[in-house]
Amino acid sequence: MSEQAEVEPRSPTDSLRRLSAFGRRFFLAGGILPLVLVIAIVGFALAEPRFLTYGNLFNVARAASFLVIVSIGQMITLLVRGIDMSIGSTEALVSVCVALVMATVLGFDPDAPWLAIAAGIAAGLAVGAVVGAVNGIGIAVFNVNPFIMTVGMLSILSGVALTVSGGMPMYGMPKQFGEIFAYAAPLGIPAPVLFAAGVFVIMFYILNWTALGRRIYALGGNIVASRLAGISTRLHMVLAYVMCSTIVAFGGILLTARVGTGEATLASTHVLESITAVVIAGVSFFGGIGRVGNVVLGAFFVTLVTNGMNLLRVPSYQQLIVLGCLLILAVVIDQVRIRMMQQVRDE
Amino acid sequence: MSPVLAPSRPASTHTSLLRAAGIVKAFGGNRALNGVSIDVRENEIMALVGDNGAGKSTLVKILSGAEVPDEGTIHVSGRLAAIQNPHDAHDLGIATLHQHLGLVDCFDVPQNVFLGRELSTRLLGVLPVLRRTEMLERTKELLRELDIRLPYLDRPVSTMSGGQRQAVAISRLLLGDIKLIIMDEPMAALGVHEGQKVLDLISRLSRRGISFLIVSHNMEHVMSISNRVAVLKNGNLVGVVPTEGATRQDITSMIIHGRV
Ligand SMILES: Nc1ncnc2c1ncn2[C@@H]1O[C@H](COP(=O)(O)OP(=O)(O)OP(=O)(O)O)[C@@H](O)[C@H]1O
Ligand SMILES: [Mg+2]
Repeated sequence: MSEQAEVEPRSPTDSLRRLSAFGRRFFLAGGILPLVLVIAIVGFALAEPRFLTYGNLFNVARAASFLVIVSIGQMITLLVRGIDMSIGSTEALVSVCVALVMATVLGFDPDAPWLAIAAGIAAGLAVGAVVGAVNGIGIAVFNVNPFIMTVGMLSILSGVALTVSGGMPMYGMPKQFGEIFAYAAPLGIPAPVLFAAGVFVIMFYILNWTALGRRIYALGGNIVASRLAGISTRLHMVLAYVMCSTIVAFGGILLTARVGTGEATLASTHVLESITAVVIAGVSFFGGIGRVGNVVLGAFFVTLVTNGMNLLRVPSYQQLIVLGCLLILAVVIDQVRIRMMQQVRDE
Repeated sequence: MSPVLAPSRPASTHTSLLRAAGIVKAFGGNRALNGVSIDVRENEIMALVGDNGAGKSTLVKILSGAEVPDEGTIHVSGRLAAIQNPHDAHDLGIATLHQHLGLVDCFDVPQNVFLGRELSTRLLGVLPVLRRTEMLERTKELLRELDIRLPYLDRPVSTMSGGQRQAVAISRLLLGDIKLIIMDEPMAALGVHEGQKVLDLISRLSRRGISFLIVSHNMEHVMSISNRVAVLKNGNLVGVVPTEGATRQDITSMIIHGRV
């Protein structure tokens, strides 16, 4: 990072300064993501040649799609200056409910797998929407701090999921569920990747091209100004959490299809990983700033790191250490970025 | 209502544009407004003055729909108006510049100008889609009309100077069919030059028939620009006096002693 000394425009200093100014604007707009992504890819490719094979990239893409989806959900809560610590247990509860509903419907009519699948997915999405509404109402109406609210929900939801499932994997879902939603690969593209792309397109549209999206950003940017501009801030805050949890629920449904059973301990790493992905992607903890395209890259990056460490046979305990460091580093960089933005303003 | 073209200091028509009567607002046990009645006429610039904590901002918030009064009524152009939120006020032709500007720092200029009033169209008759180009064009138009020059429109307003941010906040006000502009200390954070520009802007707009209610601590500004001065003290209206014929001492004495 360069000092912004006021030097007379002389050509070498000048071009250097222009370069650093460009670098700074790039950093302010997108964070460090493009840089670390390249470093990670080059580093892993040098250390382990198998990393860059088509087969491995196919696997990474499929593995990344679940994290991409839940990170897009997580991003929305950060945009409104909140956070969702309960996404992992939301996925777990969704998983249990989906399995329960599908098995129940199949129990009534074993010849109706599609009805069972439709009912299960609807139930899963509904669970997500309700969880989001509870989070949102707690935060927007009862003014509970978002961290506390969603940590409370984390405990509640995983308690419910464990109670319903008895702590055991839940079987009995139609086999078509896994075939279509997890293992199908039209045109050689894994189904989860297609679903993640669909979520991305929809959220890109909503966040960038609708008034609803603008207002979600506005809420995080300045909630008082939003209210004075006539935006119903409570409604939009609740909507943001409903959107987050519904998207997360969709991720949970896909993950359930992949695992093949309802699991009350599904996706326990997603909270940490999604926050890391989102913050590395330049979504600010202070609200109002972040691009959904970068979040996709951020989730891809986190998956890439995990995959690379697996190929390099880094033990999973040590992987936890790396992921934790990554998260803290990402937050530190977010702070630096915010400070630099204020500097730009003071200039 | 037809806008009246008037000389430089508008001769007000004595027709009431906004009449608030018996406004009471309490925060907990603290009565910020204690039955205040105020009458802004068509085509006039009214100044609202008073010590810190007199209740000026609270009155502004009530007239702009940011707060709802505990008691009292508001009439706009002779008709009873139920102002429950900022949209209601805006629909009645009231636009407000609040004390802390109300800008979203991370938004660019058009995004701030159209905050909460985004223009959308429906793609294929169903999908709502923002009309970004039109919002940008209309922002440019507004700025040109107000003779406001900004170095760029597509960067976050957090990168702008105090005066430029003020300009963005002011240009927001003219969106829509506006009859009354309320400003809460519009010159407070500005240098002499920038402050003068805002004063010029106010006279220019008032010549177009827009009325103003302006909160200010700056007596010089108040004396130079207003038709009448309303004085608040401890949540009560001390009085309203025509600016011509009053001296700064008269008004300062009203602010301090609470007597005409
Ligand atoms: N949201 C609020 N909650 C509690 N008390 C409030 C609130 N808003 C205003 N008050 C109180 O109401 C009184 C009037 O405040 P107000 O902001 O209207 O004063 P003001 O005349 O605008 O002062 P200043 O010149 O300092 O801006 C003050 O005593 C203030 O403490
Ligand atoms: Mg005030």
